[in-house]
Amino acid sequence: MSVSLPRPATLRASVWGLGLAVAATALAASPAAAVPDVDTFTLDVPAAASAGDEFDVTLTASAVSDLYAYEVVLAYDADLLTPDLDGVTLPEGGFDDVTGDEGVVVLTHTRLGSSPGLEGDLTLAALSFTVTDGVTGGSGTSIDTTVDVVSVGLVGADGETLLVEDAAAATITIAAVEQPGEPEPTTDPVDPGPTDPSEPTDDTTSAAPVSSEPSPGASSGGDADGTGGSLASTGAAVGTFVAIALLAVVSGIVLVRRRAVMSR
Amino acid sequence: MSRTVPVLGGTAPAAVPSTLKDRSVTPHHRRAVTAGAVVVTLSGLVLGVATAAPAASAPEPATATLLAPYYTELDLTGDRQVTADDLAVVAENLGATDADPGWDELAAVDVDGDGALTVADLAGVSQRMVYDDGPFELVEADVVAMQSAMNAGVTTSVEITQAYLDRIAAYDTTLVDTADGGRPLHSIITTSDVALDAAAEADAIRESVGMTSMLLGVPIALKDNYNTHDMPTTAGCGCWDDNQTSTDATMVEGLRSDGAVILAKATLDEFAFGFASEYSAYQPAGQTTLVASPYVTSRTAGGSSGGTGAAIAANLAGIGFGTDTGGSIRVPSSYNQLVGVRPTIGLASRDGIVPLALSQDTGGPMARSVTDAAVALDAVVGIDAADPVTARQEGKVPESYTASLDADALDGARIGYVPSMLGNNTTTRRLWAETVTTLESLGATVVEVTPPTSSSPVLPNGFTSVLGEGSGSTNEFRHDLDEYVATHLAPGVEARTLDDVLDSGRFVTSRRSTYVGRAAVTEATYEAWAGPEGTHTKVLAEGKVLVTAMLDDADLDALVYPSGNPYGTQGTNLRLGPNTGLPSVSVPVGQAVAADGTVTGGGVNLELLGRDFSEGTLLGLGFALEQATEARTSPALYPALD
Repeated sequence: MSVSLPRPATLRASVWGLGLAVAATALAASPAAAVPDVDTFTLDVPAAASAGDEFDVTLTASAVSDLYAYEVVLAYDADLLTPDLDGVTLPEGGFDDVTGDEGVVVLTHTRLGSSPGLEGDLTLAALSFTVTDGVTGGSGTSIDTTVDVVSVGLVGADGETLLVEDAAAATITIAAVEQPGEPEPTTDPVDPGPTDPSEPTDDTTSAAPVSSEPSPGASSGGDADGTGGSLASTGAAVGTFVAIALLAVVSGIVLVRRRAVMSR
Repeated sequence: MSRTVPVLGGTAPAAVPSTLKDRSVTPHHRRAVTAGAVVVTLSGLVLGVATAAPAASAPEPATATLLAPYYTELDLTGDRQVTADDLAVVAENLGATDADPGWDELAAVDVDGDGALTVADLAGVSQRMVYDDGPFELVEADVVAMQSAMNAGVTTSVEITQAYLDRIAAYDTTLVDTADGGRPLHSIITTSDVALDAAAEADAIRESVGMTSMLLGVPIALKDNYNTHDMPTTAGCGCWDDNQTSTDATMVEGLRSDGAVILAKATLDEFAFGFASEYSAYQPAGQTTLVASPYVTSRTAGGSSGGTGAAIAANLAGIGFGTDTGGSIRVPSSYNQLVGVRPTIGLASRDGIVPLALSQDTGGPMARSVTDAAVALDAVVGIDAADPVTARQEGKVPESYTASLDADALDGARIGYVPSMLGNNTTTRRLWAETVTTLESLGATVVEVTPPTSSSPVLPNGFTSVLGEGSGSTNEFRHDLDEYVATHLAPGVEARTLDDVLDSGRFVTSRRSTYVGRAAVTEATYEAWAGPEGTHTKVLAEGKVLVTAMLDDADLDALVYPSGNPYGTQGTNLRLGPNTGLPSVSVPVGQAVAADGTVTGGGVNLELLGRDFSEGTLLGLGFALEQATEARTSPALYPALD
């Protein structure tokens, strides 16, 4: 299923590597094509999967403009899920780098040479995960687990950057496994691991593993919070955060670029 | 060829919040580069979806020479270009910071200078690749744009070649300028029947081994005094309509061996005599045609390489070649807002070029950009036994002139000028003043030079004597043409002497007296002029010494002066190169505006003249000036075809 829902997101533009947070206050409008921009991120996952299943996770972005390079950081529960890092799909016509560590996948893509940035609605990344064999909430209990887009770093063709944190998240329910011959559960189930099944994680905001503080003045990407229920996917609207990146420029954080040889 | 760049510790991605960054990361990397429709091979790296490691018998991976700092300075793997290998190194080290040991190896690719490698740096490095999958625009495309688009599979040499053939067909003999006095360009004499085959070959080379040269698949127009084995070489004269030579000029061999597509032969002033560009080839006796400038078609394109000038300015070919004895590259370059290179005598072989006066003849590129000119010049240099003067270049030619294409080249440069060479043309003086400001803003020092007023019996008035020496065309043409006829002229051509030309009636008949005079020059006169002890020989030799001393005494990188005024020449400026053998690069600096009261729209080039074999220096200075001024305009009368 695919659900794209704006929600109050905690977004910051920062100088990557230094971690300087920049507040989005009192900003003027930015030049149209100078900064990479995305309207909404959407993370597509199936609503449910069973132990041993392989399922696809797709991160899409809508109304992309001037996206020359990006870096997506995905977080997942390594006890429950294993990504297929050799089967990642990124946009055609560029250089890709996929790095995996327990619980984290980093997907990096860049266009090549003087190519223009990506535009429009596009799939930033698609990859599959396999549910760990034998996973169960214990005695027939299902488990909800969340795949988080911890951050998406965007780079425009002019070198302008924009960092979107908590860009999207989606929850998959890992179905209960029939356990023939087992007796009916009696009392409280044993805690199976990091995800406590007694606490439903249908609120994806709370499921995000990163503790982020809203930037002062950062405007919401939408007018409604995630309303709970069984949303499998959420996205962050970031259209207004073009202005944040502009502040980075105003602050003197400007990429050092040589003049291009070609006149285009 | 590659050195190992250590992977630094701390490979956590830069954008990962600290809670994740603190994890111990033992990453699994998977990388891929997906190119467009073609396999792109850049120095050993095959970019492509379905490419295997080359087998032992496979051709050596292609290495195209593009040494402009912009394209080399972020190389990490020692092959002087940015490839996916370099991107892989950056990717491997994302998250590294200047606190990490080994940072020095990576500091060069910290493009944004923030002390950490991030995806922004990966992007910054990637942008230095010759690759572009965006839409390709033929009009005003330079070689980098063409190669980038072909590398990305956006277009092919066949498509580019066909597009230029289409533009020639649509524009060259068509009256598109409906203003009073408007004329067709008439810039092309012959188009090649085999250019598309050559283009297909270039595409096949790119498909199999990648971009072997910055000229691979780039269509070239040659002044019709360069021998080509696949098109006649008329020198603009109806008397030589049938001169289908069996070989290429040496310079043309160089272009073809670099994969260039020889697209067409361009019109010229007959036998390269003058600046009008009037020719009689393929016309009935007594009929001639004048070549028009695409900016103001009532004006001549200049000469004698006027067809090349008009064709390249109007985007009828990628890069052009002209010849220059007394200004024939630089005049049409100035009239048509092109970069023109008159090389040092001895840099490029004249063998197979119809001569005018070998004491001063040169062949060189005419191009829409300094980059194009540098790439084109690279292809035609070399020692050629058939033109012994080329032995002079031994050890003096750089690997590639593109290495000089540095936008900062004017910083710290010293540029001299002789006030008397500036003239009084309103447009030229205005543009000179603006250029001085530009040069100084770029860090150059502009130095007024007072030239020597006396020197020796050969140059009694010093610098003035250098500029006062006449062209070799009068006394040398007959002698040098005889050698060309004996060596190259197709056997079937009947007009084999100047007397034969006169008898044929197939020439620009208004110039009969010039032909008669040149036909009458005796061998003794030639020897007294151009022989080892000839007067002209001595002036040229001493002229080189005198002007080199002017450069040395004032510690100059170059002398600068106008190549001309809008649709006109300026004094005897054009003689400085020919009368010293020194190289010069002519670069557009602007156009006349109505308020100037000259010829509105007419271009002005400034010319940078330097020491023997200093083409690299001059191209670098010209590049820096070009990047700052972006003075060239595209002729509005000849837009992209629908």
